[in-house]
Amino acid sequence: MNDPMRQILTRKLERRRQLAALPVCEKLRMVEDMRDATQAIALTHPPKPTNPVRFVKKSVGDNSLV
Amino acid sequence: MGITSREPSCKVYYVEKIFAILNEMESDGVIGRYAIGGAIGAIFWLEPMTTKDLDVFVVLPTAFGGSLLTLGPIYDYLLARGHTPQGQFILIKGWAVEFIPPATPLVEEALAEAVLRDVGGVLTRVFTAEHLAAICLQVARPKDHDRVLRFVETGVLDAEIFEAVLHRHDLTGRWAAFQDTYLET
Repeated sequence: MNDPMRQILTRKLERRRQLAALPVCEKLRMVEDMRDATQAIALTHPPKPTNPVRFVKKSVGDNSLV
Repeated sequence: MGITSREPSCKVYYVEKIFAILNEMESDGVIGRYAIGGAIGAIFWLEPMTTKDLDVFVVLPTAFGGSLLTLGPIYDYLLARGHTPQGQFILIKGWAVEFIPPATPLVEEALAEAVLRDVGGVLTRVFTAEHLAAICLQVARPKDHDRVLRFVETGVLDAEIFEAVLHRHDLTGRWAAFQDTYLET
């Protein structure tokens, strides 16, 4: 493992320990916020993507693209 | 840069209220001794992680004085108070709560040795870090291995206690395999 990777890993572990050291009440509230945010995303229906290929009904046998 | 507590907000949080309901259920005799396990139990010792349910390990009452365990009284009690069932869960204050009887000697021991913790002025019982890590080793799904790694990296496990739990429940082989795979020697 090279030095930059080692530094990233060390920072990740340090951050993990700092978060773990927070009061339980605070951590559980963070979890509740995360859960609510996830539910809010799930309730949002994004618009359907625009169909890039539109067929226009013309005379029979004419299937040309617009 | 350190992590500091956030300013109090106007949002109402419900987790503490669920612990209060569980305490009421225990004192009303609807459930026996209970303790929080699973992801929420782990959060007592580790950093916050996302989860959708709350696992309550509980000594269940038996039906008609026999040996058949039943969730009936729990459902009756909670449904009468306006909570709704959803699959194997009961929705309490927006949380999917699952009541789980201990299925292995390890979980029985975890329940017996669970510790009291204060959450915003409400006392609740939670599995010890050593028992939670041992249960993860026993269950051994990928997410359980990830959680064991978090327990190790956060440095919350008491090595002596953890080793004793692993010995008692025949998990030393799994621990050795886990160390070989995930931990630097």
